[in-house]
Amino acid sequence: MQKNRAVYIDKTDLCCSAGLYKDELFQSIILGDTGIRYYEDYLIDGSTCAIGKIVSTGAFDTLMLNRVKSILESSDLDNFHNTFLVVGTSVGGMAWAEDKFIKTEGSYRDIVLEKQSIYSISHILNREFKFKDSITFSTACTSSSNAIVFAKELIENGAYDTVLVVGADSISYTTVNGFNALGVLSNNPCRPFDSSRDGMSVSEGIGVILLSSKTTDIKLLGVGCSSDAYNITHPHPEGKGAILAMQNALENAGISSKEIEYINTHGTGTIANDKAEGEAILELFSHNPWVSSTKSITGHTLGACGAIELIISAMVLQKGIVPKNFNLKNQELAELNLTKENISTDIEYVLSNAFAFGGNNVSIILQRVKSED
Amino acid sequence: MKINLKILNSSYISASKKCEGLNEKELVKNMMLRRRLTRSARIAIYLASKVGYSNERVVFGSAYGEVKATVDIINSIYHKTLLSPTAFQNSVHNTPVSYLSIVSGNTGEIITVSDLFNTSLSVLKTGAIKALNGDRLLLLSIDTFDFDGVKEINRCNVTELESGVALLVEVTDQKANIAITDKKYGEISPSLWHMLDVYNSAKELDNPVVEVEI
Repeated sequence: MQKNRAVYIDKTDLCCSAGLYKDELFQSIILGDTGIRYYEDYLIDGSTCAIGKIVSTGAFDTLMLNRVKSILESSDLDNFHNTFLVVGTSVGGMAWAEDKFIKTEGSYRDIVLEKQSIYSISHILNREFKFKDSITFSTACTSSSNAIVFAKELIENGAYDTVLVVGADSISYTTVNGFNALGVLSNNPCRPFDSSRDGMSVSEGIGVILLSSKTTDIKLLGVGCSSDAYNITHPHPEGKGAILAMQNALENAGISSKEIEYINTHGTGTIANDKAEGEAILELFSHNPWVSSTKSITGHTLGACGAIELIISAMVLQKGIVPKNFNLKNQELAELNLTKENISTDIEYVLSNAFAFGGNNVSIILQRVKSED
Repeated sequence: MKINLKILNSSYISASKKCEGLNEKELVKNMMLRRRLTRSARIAIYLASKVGYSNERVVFGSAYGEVKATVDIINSIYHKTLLSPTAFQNSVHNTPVSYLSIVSGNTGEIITVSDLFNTSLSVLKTGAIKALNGDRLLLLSIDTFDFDGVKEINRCNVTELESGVALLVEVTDQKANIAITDKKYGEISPSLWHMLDVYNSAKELDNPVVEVEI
């Protein structure tokens, strides 16, 4: 058994409201061009909401298949027949089920479990690409982050050489109205870490990451998981679960907190999350690393956010640009080093956070591999 | 890769309508918290207590989540009535084990997998890879779907509408005496079959060890 093999990010691609491809999204982040728009037909009380919907002629499933196909074509692989698929999704085929239920006037007769359930994403991908095996993680907003954690474990233990992670969640009435019912949906594009923030912007997105034992320029260095054990919908107010996840990731990476230069936060724009996460960062990182949330551009892509934001974090390392916090006017935690402008810099380590309902926390650390020449 | 898991303890429960005798008052002292627990959360806490769970990492599997909550939500959307925030939070697949973490104060890794009829097989595979760290893990697979209209969607003719199985495991070098099979248990949700089969084999053996291939 091969143990502790290094794990690298080989290929990535994504699709979300602020960019149909990864470079398009990074450009939007740098320019402050948000994908969050106002819609009048999602809230059942008829009011307007601000959400991040992908604007494309292609259906969500087609976009997902296209992104996975582009990864395959750009990789060294002929096919995915020896690749393990790990999916992260929080709603699966809920949007499809809502549509069927409404069209059949409230009947379950046309609901097909392969299309309605959490498994639906894996079902679509397996049918098209015939992966060697697959597992779907569903831990709400940490779904694809937990998928990445498991993918790392598969490769470092020698079970697989290549693992494809797909984080995917589409907009559904359930999520938009559900977060509205919880009182955490903002009426406007979200403002993470701002003192006047009033909630999140539900969005849809797809993040695809091909992980490999083959050396590339980005190493998946460390992962850390924890549970708050505090409340189903509220994070621990002092961010104790977040601190533990970040500590576990640092330990897994074998580096000290002082080496982290940029943190891509979970930063949803809710009052509770941003305060707890900000406090946790201040507690653990005394050297003031740069901190930003990219959700004011992408919105909260729910189960896909872990994969999408890890791709953004990898691009921060590759492009040498730490992005500004869009929509941040008056920051609540003055000590937090929230970026006000895009910063060109050569950095080696970034940390990306994702937190979820039930106090499920995941932190992931990436390292830019310096070329030897 | 083949990984052998020693089954340290196991438990199973099912009922045609609603599992009774889950010992909630003893296991969840906080009345407010107890009242909020979902059906799957109650079964998770009960099964964990039966296998001697002491805040190990948890791998949980559910094919359908809390179907009652999902049904309430989709009906609210169809009838354009306000969604219940409780139904929304309960519809999330990892809610049952999040409640377990809150009740037990477990701050460790707790994850949920969902692969329809292969869900409990995915729990075993995920648990096997995680167990390579050398610690004990609690593997749980639970599905509950007693709701008005279940007959319309119950195409597998499952008669036990609530069921759950728990295995407390650790990795071992010992030879396996249990193989995972595709044996069918018609009355139980297919999402539990693989782990139920392991449970049934384990209870007949003094030192049960299952081989998991991934």
